[in-house]
Amino acid sequence: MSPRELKLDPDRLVALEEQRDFLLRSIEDLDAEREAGDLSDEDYEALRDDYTARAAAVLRSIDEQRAGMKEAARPRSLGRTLAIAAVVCGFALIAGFVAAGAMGARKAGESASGGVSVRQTPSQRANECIPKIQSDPPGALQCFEDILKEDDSNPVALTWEAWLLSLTSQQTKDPVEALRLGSLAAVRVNTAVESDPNYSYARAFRAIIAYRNGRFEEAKDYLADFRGNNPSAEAQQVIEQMGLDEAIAEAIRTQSEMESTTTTATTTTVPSN
Amino acid sequence: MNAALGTGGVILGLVASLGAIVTVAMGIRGDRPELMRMSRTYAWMVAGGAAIAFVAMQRALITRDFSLEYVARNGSTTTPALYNFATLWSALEGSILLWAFILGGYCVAVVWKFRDRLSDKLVAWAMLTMFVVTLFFFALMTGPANPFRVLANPPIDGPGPNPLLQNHPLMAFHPPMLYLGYVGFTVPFAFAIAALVTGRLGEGWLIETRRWTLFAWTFLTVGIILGAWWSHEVLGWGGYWAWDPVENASLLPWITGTAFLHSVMVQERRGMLRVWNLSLVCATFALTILGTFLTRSGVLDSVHAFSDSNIGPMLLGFFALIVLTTVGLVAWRGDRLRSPARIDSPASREGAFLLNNIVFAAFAFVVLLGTVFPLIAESLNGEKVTVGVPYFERMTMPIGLVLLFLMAVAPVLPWRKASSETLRTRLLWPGWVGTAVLVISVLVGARGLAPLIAFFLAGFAAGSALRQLVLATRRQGLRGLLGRTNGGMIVHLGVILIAVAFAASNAYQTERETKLCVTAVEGCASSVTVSGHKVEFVGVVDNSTNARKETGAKLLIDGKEFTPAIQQFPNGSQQIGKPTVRNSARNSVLIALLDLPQGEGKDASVRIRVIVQPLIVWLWIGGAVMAFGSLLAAFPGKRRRPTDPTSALPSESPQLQPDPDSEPESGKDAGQDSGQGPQSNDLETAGAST
Repeated sequence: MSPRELKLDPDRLVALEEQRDFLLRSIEDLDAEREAGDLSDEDYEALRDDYTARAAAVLRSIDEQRAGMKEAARPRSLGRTLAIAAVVCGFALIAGFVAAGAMGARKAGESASGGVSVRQTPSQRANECIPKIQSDPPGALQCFEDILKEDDSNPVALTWEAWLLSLTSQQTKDPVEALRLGSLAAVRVNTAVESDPNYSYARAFRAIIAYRNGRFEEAKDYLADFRGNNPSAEAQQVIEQMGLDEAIAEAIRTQSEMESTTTTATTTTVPSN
Repeated sequence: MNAALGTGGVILGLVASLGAIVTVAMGIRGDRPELMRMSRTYAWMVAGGAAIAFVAMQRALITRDFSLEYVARNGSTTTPALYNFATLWSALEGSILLWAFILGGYCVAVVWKFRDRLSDKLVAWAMLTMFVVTLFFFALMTGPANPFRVLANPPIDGPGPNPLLQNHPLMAFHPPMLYLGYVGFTVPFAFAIAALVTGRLGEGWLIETRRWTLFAWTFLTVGIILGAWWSHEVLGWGGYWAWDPVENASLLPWITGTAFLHSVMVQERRGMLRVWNLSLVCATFALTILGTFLTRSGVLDSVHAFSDSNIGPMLLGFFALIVLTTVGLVAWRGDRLRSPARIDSPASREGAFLLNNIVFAAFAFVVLLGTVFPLIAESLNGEKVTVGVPYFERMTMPIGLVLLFLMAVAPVLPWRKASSETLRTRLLWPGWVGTAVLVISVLVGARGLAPLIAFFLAGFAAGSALRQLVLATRRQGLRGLLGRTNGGMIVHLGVILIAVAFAASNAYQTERETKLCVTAVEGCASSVTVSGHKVEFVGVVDNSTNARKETGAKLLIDGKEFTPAIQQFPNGSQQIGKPTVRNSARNSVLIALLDLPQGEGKDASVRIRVIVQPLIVWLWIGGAVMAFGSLLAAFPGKRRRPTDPTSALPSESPQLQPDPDSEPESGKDAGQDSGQGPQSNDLETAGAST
């Protein structure tokens, strides 16, 4: 730091100002003491001259400091100001542009910036396809198929695709197409059970699909199998809501009645030898 | 009992803060030293109040006093002791209590350090400012963030802290470290305000607060590194920095604090950048409050949630007060902050520091913009948006590379200006080191432009830092490592390690998801090999305790047993992954379970994610090196008395003025090395002052 720079120390200016205040206060005290008769005129003059001289020196130094500081002010340059503003604005624009490019809708649970980016597993993605079964069945089917292309034994995708196929088969008027979809659903759900024997929905849907496909005895066995494998509460709820036990029992009873009726009719109509 | 004790502590802290403000203000106004000196008593009262409240809350957590709402919401009978202790800072009210407790400690430390100068107006104003901050935090605790609210019908058990906060010991240390950093910046801020108010804007206040700033910065650094480590060990995503608002809130004051630690040297040496330094100190403190607002007000969930939060408006108001006070004071004192000194050449130490500060400012702007952009967007059009990681990566990568370049060049530059001969001589070895690192990287198979540039610049910067350290130790032995210059070079080495690990782990990560079966069957193998590491599934283990249910998969990674698991805590529905990491100097193998293991015994199967990342462990080692370097930087060699009110006496010539904290001998080394030319006087002191 040059001596000139050292002169412009703000701490020094404060020290000078404190010194100035002290000296001016001392002169006031001196006046008061003289008025009170505590000081002789000679002493007063001598002391006052000394204080005044010191105060004047300090005031000169303060003026020098202040003038120096004023002088130190960098002359304003419009060009420089504009250049700095342009650089700052340019950088802000680039940042804003990049931020806008990296911006997306924030879903529930997502943070406002950044975020932990974990690639979802096929099962997690398959779970996200499930709501589409109601709102967009073709979209849901495509969604499950995409996952199965990557992981052909994914139990979640297989199970819920089977469920979707079974629902579609029920709504199809063409009996051949309905039979095809129903069979495909049975294949898918069987693969799902093999892939993950602990996935409760797979066992539950296997029973339901068998029932829908008219294979009631199989459905009964599958239901028992479902119950014997520690089923989840959610899957159990689906079975209860459908009243599958009663439905299967009723279907078996009806089927056996029909069979016995058919047998009786056959017996009746077949001429005895 | 706990509620009464804690509330008593909070009220004691509040009243003591208020009393201190009135007493010290009267002392300053009436120039009454005895009143200013009372700040010592008040500081002890504030710290005592905070300590009583802290102990009361810990007692409530340990004794499972569910009559306190905070304990009922965050405690539980099954939380293990360490995490039960850490529950104090697991939610808003406890965090504010921890803040006040640490702030009380800092108040006591400051009055002890300046015990002989409490009647100095600079110190008195600093204490007054600190008491205003303590008043704010105690006011929060008596109002919207009261940790001692009592429930009329207490439950018999609570849910415990967030499961993520109780499955790794690092969570017990990471928040206190961060808070020691955040709160520590109150001290330099208080002295900056004091300097502005008293007009003593020379270098005196900087010297008073230099170590306090370094202390706070070190804790913040350690806290951030521990947070990144926790994220890597616990979240199982293979990353360590997600740029989420909470992380950014800790990074912002770190960036401005780092900029300040560099620019302060320009003011000490050349009397320049006075406004900038004051602004940086105040901005650093303001950013700690802004970060608390962003993370604690609920505003980041939704700007509409902000209106439901009581603490948000108070934090925002306090932030506004800090900013307006600082801007007002700087404007008022503008005429005293001018310096006649100019940067003579961009190729000079001060030129490099200025550029460094501009880059740090840009860095802070980028992070701040990415963090608050969603708030601005939502307040304008009501849409909830998120700014993704690509924004931060694209914007911060070039900034990081420029900073690495400056780390290589700045330490060898002399003050005022450098001749081309000096630059050539001093940059030769660092350049060779950089080139060698680049060649080795290519030979071992590193590819990609960005990581290779990063490796070259890292080698270049390491060469520069090592050159400085070799010169210092050659002259003074190990003692040469002490002091700001050489401690700073060790910090640089830590940063370089982190930069290399960051570049390598991001660029050369291998990830694989697969299903393993204990007994291999068609479509399901019993082992997998990823980047040369064999992972074998041995079986399923149940490590459940009273505190949590835990199902793990016993795996052999290169023959060594590890057990990643999935945990479920009794009072939480969420399943939490507990990954496992096998660290080595070369790379880390992280394994996370993707689902609960299926089946039992030989029929068991599990779906896992394997992530192999090179050099990860060097991130944490780099953090430790940074902390060690900061410690060395805090121990000076020969230095001027820090209690001198002024740093620049007019009678002294520049050559005779001792450098604040470093040894002229090491500067001579630098001078001898470069040697000649018109700037040799500058070179004498150059090495000693960085």
